[in-house]
Amino acid sequence: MNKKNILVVDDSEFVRKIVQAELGGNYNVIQAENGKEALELLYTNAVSLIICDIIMPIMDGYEFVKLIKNDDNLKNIPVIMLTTESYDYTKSDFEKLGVAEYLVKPINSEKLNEVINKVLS
Amino acid sequence: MDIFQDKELLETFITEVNEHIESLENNIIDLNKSDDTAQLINEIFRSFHTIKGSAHYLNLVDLVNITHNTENLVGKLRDGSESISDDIIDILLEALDLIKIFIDGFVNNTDVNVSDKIVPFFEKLKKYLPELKIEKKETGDNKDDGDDAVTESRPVDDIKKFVIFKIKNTYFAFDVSNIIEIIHYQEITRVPFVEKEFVGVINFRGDLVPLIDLRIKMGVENSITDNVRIIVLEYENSKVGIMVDEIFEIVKVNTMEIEKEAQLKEDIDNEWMEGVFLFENNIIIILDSEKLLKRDIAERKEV
Repeated sequence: MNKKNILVVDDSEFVRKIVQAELGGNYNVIQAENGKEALELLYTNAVSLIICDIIMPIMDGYEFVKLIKNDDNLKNIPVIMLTTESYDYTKSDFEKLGVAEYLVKPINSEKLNEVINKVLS
Repeated sequence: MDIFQDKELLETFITEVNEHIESLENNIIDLNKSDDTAQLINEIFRSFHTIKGSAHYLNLVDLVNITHNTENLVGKLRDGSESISDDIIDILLEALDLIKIFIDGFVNNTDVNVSDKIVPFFEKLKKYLPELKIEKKETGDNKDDGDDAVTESRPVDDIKKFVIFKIKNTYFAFDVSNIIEIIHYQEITRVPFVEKEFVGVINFRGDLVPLIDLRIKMGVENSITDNVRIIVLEYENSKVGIMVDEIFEIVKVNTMEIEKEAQLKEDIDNEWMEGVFLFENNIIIILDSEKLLKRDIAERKEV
């Protein structure tokens, strides 16, 4: 069976690599540095799940999620926000956009896998 | 997964922090030269924020604290509540120096010790971030804050800082010295069968902190809006979150201006009141957090 694709959007390579290390065994992890790069990847890859940071250069997580939730081809891909506490957006801003989960970094692998299984089930 | 066992991941962390250090250095220096500072401020904000996020994963508490608080200051530059000054630029450069020292120690595996430098740094930051709580490491001889000693000897000029917040249409205040942090509304884990104003617990920096909705306690409507904030207070060596409608202002008040014997509208329990003062023609009611919480916490412990 082919592994499902998970798209990780985070400007920190360190965080992307942590997610890759956590999930790489069960999923094919695709990485993007910002929302714009992620959008481009979404047009060429079938993605089962998006894990997304908020504060990023060029296109931030809010802008990115807003765009995909307004795109009929992409809006059904579940999104998990994985972010560091900040004052820019609240959890409810993202709930309004329709994200599946909102998690605050750092997060352990157990919890991450639990949430992913829940979202993908 | 133990990140510390993964050499490649650690190298990625160090490379990334070093890239941010370099970009911070350029951007902070450019703040003084550039007309268009909004972009620079955004980039500076992002750098501190990203370092903070990574430091969290490695549980580097000092680094998290430095970047978290500095990010808050840059946040104030970004939203316009503070403007760029030489003093702020100096503080940002000092933050950068502390990060460098920390990372050098981390890379060279020497005993990283920025703790003694963090306290004086936070003292400077506190000017702009009144809610910042400085946790001093006990060194034996300076348990007492020097500043307190000075104000104690001059009671006439005793200045206290208060956070003014709103519940419905009434202004209240807490003494800043009891406040650990003011945070946005976050997910609450509900706890059944307790006093109704005790709405549950929140996760605050890994601690489970009981949360009291002061609006319920005061018998007013308690909707969750974007302005709602949780004031995390220290109470009897633990923490309590107090949910309020919005934060209004942080002010300094001369204790001489505080009226302790004021009679209030009957709908406010006088027992909780420590005094009142006037701010911009509004009556501000100072709440005594201990008295306010005593009953709630005592009852909760019995449950």
